[in-house]
This record gives sequence, structure tokens and C-alpha cells, in this order.
Amino acid sequence: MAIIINRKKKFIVATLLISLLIMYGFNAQAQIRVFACEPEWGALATELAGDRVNIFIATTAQQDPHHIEARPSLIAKMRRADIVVCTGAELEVGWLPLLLRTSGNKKVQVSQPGYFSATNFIETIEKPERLDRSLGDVHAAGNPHAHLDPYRLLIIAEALKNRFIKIDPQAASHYQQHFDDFKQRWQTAVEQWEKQASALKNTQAIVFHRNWAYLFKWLGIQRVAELEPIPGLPPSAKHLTKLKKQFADTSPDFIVYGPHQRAKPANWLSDQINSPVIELPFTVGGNKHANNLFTLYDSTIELLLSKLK
Amino acid sequence: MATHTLRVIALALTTSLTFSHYAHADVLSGPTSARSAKSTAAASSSNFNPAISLILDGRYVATDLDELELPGFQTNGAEAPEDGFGLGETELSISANIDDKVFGWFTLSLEEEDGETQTEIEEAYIESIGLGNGLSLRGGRFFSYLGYENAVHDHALDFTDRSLIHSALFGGNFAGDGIQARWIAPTDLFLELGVELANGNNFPGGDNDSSIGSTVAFARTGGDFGVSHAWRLGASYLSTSFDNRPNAEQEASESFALRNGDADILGVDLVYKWSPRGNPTQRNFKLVAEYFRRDENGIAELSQGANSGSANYDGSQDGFYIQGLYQWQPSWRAGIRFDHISSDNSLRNITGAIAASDFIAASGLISDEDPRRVTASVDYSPSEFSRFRLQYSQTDTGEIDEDTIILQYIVSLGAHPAHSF
Repeated sequence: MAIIINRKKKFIVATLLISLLIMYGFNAQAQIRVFACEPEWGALATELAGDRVNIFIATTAQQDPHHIEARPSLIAKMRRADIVVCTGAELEVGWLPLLLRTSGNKKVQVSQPGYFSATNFIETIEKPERLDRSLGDVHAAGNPHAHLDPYRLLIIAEALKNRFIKIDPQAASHYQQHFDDFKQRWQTAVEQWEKQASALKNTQAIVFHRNWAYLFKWLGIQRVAELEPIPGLPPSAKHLTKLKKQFADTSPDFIVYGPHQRAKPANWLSDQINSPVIELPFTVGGNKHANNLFTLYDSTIELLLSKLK
Repeated sequence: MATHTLRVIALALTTSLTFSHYAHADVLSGPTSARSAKSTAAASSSNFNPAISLILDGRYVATDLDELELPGFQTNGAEAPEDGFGLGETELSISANIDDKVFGWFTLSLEEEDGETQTEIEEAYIESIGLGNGLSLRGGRFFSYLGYENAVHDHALDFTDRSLIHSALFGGNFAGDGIQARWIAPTDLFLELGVELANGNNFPGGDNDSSIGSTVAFARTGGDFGVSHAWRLGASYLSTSFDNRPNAEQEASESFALRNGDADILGVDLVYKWSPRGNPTQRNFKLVAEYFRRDENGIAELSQGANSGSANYDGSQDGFYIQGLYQWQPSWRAGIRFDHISSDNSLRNITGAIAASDFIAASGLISDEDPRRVTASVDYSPSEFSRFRLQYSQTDTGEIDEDTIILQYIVSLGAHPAHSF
């Protein structure tokens, strides 16, 4: 008898615990929950919403946003998100659709206002003419890394502000104010960056991967080669040797790679052709200076200028 | 049949190669799909095409192992790789959002068996999209969410073949026609609960008259430790029954079957992954371990020529595998796996014209041996869409001890692979 009561008690305690856990979960939804796929969108959401929202950032600057797995922790976060803010253009194709499907969350599905895909609001560049995988992991939607073009970023910021207002209309003026403030600060900063970076116009760079396309287009930097033999494949010895020959006499101004890419191939080539190597932050958190969108651009331009001969 | 199938594939491929990048489904991993309706990027009808992917698998196998006969376990059709050059499973998957409420998935498998191409509908299901409150419903034919390896398609396995315990208990993996409900708790710690009701026609079920022949329940939890470590822990339970469950491999003048029985299976599974700073593209490590235990009973019936006999069967089997895979540089991985299974079965009240000792010997169910296997592999994946693998394994069933060497390619044509955990 004692044993039976004990079991019953245990059962009741367990049920209570589980209910508490669930109630906690439901109650905690008072604040808008943002699931940002990449740090740049987390930073943008912070600019536009301040502490009105609770932001979860799914990846760090040290991770390649294309190669993320639909981990249990990400599914749990997606389950409770009110809005998902991602790059789109197939950057997250390996994991975001899977997270959306597994989450059982109605609000963030593609057809809902809680699904925000940044590249849907801008024109992408480098759309391939041919979709052939022997040309690499190229995507029909074009180059997704648009956050390094300050003009496109502002367009996206406005769209995200509108989206926040749509899902949280009571705080419309809050978001509008934050956006107006951000826009003003951003435009001032862009002017300054463009002045600072004028010396970078027509410089030449070898890149690890094509993720600087928007930045370079903006600053007038020419991409003359890539360390990846074709997009998405790791640098091969054969390809690096080819680059060494190609640039033996005409050292480009920079060899650029990002925090989630390997330094080794870049350093090797640098020794061979005498071009300086730069690790650019690529996104917020990419180095110790880049802790918001403004300092991300500051640091990027400073680093490029510092290596300019 | 074969010509028709080829035409279907040819058609599917033409479509897929033209448009595949617009729609995405699973390939070298698990299921995915769904994408945004693009307003800016070339909006065309191709946006609405289903994601199509075709897996090609070819291998050269050097082995003396004919069949995967495991003493103490009823034969169930689980196969050992066949000696010589051959094709593995050719797999065609088509998936898409059907509308804003329902997603559909279809996988056709084509496999050569005894000189004939066998076509099998591996999966064909529909699933709810964003039902809300963490709920998902699935209906149709699907791989059960029992444990970890079970829901993984052949081409996405970390080794060429399935673990011994999955082969022994499920004949490879457990699937059925039925429904599945899953719920994810609204907590920061991942917690998923699910149930499946299905026809139970597949091993360790069998022919049965019940409308619900099998029930599965599972629970999973998981999360991250810091940025470099991720884990998932699961427990699952399967209960199924059968009116008739014959041996998959029968001798010429002999037939053996279990009748009117039940099987209950309990399992736990653990997946752990490591990658420096959470970036698996350079280096990463994956550890998987699963343990299962099966308790079953039934009437064992044997007929040898004109003679027949029967007995009361009570079986208890268990086993585990543990495997680790390490990617030490981009594209290159090495793996090792240990399999161990054992049985503790009894046949009582043997009656009929066959001597008890002959009955026991013919049943293959009574054994003191613990079949085990060690597998080592190295694979090279030039891109996300292709893999070449060299695998060596040593299988020791107590009765036979054989080495197997396999050289294999697996490639995916079409839709982009999903990165499932």
C-alpha cells in the first residue's frame, strides 16, 4: 500500500512539474521572440526594437551559415519564435526549412507575417546564368550576403520595421522611432565610410569565398580571384598553385577571408605572391571591434585601409 | 516494369536538373523543403515544382558473407552487401508543400535482387505545416522515429550498412502505414514527445487482423553545451503483434514461422556532436550509441517434409552499437563502429513428430553466441552532393567469422540536401 501511494505521489509531482514547465513556457511569450538566423539580423533587430523583443541568434560569426544542422536547441527556439529573421536566397536552405517543418510553430511559416526573409526585399547580384553543379554550389537566387551593402541593409531595415509593426501593432510608434533614429545615424555613417574608403576604389582582392560581393561592389574593390576552386569547395593545392602563377607578377592589394574560413590557404598564397592577408569580421561578432552593425562596417573599412600600401 | 520505372526517373531528372535549385528537399541527410515565394528573384513556374532528388549508390564488395544470419534471431530479410560489383539502393525522392497546410513526401527505392529490379515505396506521407503549439501530424507510410538510425535513409547512413541491432530487430528499419503525432514542448531545453499508430505488417510485426498492429511512443530531449557541443538523448517503445511471422530465409524442404505472438521493444539512443566553435566545415566529431531490448513470444511452428511440430516460444534479445566519426579536414572523415547483440530465448513444450533437438536446431533461435561486428571506414566527400567510402568490417556471429571490404560511391542529383542532426 505504501508503495502504491508513493508511486501516486511521484506521478502527481511529475505531472505538476511538467505543467509548471509548460505554463512557464506559455507565460514567457509576453515578449516578442525573434529568431535571427545570422548575427547581422540579430543586430538589426536590436537597432529596430530595442528591448521590446527577445532576440535569439542561431549562428555566430565563426560558423558558416550555409553549413548549420537543425540541432535540437534550434528546434526548441524555433518552436517558440514569433518572428524568424533570415537572409534567404537559399543561404539557409539546408537547415531553415527543416527547422520550420519540425517546429510545429504556425507563426513563422513561409506564408505567415512571422517569416522575414531579408533578400526578398532587395535585388540580389551574381545570379548564375547556368545552374550546373560542376560550377559549384551556386544558387539561382543569386549572392545572399547582402548585409555588407549599406544601402540594401537600409531597405531591409525598413522592411523589418514594417514587419515588426505588423506583428506587434501596439508598439508601432516604438518601432518607427527606432527606425527613424537608426536611419539617420546610418546615413551619416555611410557618408563617412564612403569618404574614408575612397582610397579603396579600384583596388584588387583575392577572396576565399564570394561572400564580399556586395561590400566590394559598394566600395569599388575588384574581386580578381577566389581561393575556392569553385564556390563551396575547399581550396585545393592545384588551384592555389594556379593562383600563385597567375599573380606572381601582379600582386593584388589584398587576400581576404572571414572568421569561419581557414587562414592557412590565404596565408600560404600571401607568402607566395606578396599580397597582405586580411581577416575581415564579415558579420557582427566577427572580431572584437565588430559588436554592432556600425562597428562592423567601421572595423571592415579600417582593416582594409590599414593594409593598403 | 523496369522500362517504365526508368522512364519515370528520366522524366523526373530532366525536370529536376532544370529547376531543382528552386525547390529543396532532402538528399544526403533527412527531410526538408518549403521555401519563400520570391518576389524579386525570377518568379517562374519552376518555383512550384516539387523538389526532386535521385540517389545513385554503387559499390564493389569483397566478402564471403552470404546472408546476415544471426544466431538467436529470427531471419527477417536484413541483407548483407552482395559480393562483387553492384548497385546499392537507387532512391528517388519527391517532396513539396502541397498548400499552406500540408507537405508531401515520397521516396521510391529501386534495388536489384536475384537479377530482378525490386521497386518499393519506402515512404509516402503527408505532414501538417505549422499546426501550432508545437504539434505536427503525419499520415501515410513513413520510417518510424524509433531511436536514431531508424528514420535515416540508407544513403545518409554513416556507414554502408545498418547496425546489427537494427538489422536483427527490425530487418533494417521499421516502417509502417499509419499516423504519427509529435509535440515539442515550449521550453528552451528541446523536448519532443510522439506516438505512432500503424498497421504493424512489417517485422517484428507480421500478418495480422488488427486495425492497429503496432504502436510506437518516443521521447527526445537535447540541447547544446556551449557553442561547440550538441547532444540529443531519446527513448522509444514499440509494441506490435502478429498472427504469422515466417522466417525470411527458409530451407528448401523446411518452413518455420512464429504465430500469434507479441513483441515489445524498448530502446535508448544518444547522439553527440562536436565542432570547434560550432563550425563543422573544417573539423567535427559525431558519436552515436543506441541500445535496444526486445521481449517477444508466440507459437513456433516447424514443418520438415511431412513432419511438423510446434512449441511455446519466449524470446528476449538485446544489443547495442556505438559509433564515432571524425572529420579531420574538409571532405575527409574516418569512422569506427562496434556492434554487439545477444539473445536469451526459450522453446518449451515441443510437441509433434520432430525431435526436440532437431526442432531447436532448425529454429535457429537458441544460441549462446553473441554476434558482434567491428567496422572501420574512411570517406571522402568532394562536395555536399557526393561521397566515396572505403569500409572494412569483421563480422563474428559465433558460427561464422568473415571480413568484408566495400568501396562505395553515393551521389545525389537534384535538390539540395537537408542538414538534419
